[in-house]
Amino acid sequence: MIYAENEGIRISAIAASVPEQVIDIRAKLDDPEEDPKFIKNFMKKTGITQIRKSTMAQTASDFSYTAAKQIEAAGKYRPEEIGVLINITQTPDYRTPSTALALHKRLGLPKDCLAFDINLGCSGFVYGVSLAASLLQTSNASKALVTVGDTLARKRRFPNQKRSSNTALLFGDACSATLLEKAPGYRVRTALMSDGTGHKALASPYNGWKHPVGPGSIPGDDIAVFNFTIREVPELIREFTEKAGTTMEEYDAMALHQANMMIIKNVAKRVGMPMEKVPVCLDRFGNTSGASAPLSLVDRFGECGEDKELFLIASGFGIGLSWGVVDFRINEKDILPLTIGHDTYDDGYPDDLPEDEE
Amino acid sequence: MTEREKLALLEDMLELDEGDLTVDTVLDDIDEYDSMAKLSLIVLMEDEFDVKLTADVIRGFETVGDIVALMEK
Repeated sequence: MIYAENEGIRISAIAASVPEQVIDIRAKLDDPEEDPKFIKNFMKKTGITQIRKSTMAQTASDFSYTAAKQIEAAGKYRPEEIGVLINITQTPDYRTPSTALALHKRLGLPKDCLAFDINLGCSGFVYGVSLAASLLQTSNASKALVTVGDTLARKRRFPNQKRSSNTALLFGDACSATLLEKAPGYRVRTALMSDGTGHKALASPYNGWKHPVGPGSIPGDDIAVFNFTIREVPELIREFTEKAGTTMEEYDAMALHQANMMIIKNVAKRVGMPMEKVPVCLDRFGNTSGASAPLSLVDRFGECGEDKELFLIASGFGIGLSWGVVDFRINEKDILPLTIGHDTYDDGYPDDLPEDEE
Repeated sequence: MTEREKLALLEDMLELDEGDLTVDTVLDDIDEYDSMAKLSLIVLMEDEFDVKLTADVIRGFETVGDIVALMEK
């Protein structure tokens, strides 16, 4: 594992934003277009009964923007203080440039700021926090924003398909924003890992430069990914806590990537963390990719708002294969309530241009 | 563990009635043996029998007996 202890850095706010539209999977039982047996089985096996789905008017960057603005409105930062903006998404607005630059403009961030995207999925939160913490530690930047999230429920184009498939119901749309800052006495510890031999286990290989034409997604190797998750993730969490000198009892909660209930329960069991200390939001939001761990914290603590320090551990894992762990202290009142994202961005590009013939 | 007890573990995992499975039951004929059930099987085999199933091994299973044969306890 690549282990880092970022001394003098803390996470000073976490926020998350989701679309207003709720897709109620239970209601599909009465839909003549659907197969009720499939729907019932899906809910029972995954634990998902609802997801949030963006309309075609919004993209992931809109929900990231809403979450970041919520942190600003809470008085946690002024735009000119942000020296690092990392946006982690698999559903970027553009082929180029990084969506982070459009966010940089919308958020009114200064030129003395580095801004870029990272193409990662379910490990995104942990990777973003780790990179932002080390960039803060080694530079003159004082605050960093990490936005993470995807709109995997929303399709790229208007879909024709009527009957729901597994993937159409599994993924929900959500984004998170996390603020990090220099703060003596605090630290953010992280451990990151990758395994490129699994790069085909979960993939969207088409519509890039290597395979320019093809479907938006292809079936994943569920068994390989499941085996990876229940073996590698608990092992990394154990290795991390051993190195950090902590025990599961010390943590107030463990935020896991909300992949599906079987994975959440198995990882928790294998590291000896009781389920009462593992926030679950999968049932109402589905698998929300990289935003899921912070969303689960917002869902559990966002409305509490007590002036009390929490010691948290979080883990993200999935596409890549890529996985990681982070632990940090945060005041409960700095985990903000969930917001419904209504923001949109008119970038001025027309949508009716013809495809070019290369 | 007897063969019946091993079958009972699989019946429990697949939420079937006791006695529904025999070692000759063909897996493709069991509606409940779907992609999520295969994940449950991975957990069951690892937790109860310390057997780590790979995707290739699972793909090679034809009958319930093929699974039971790996349950050494």
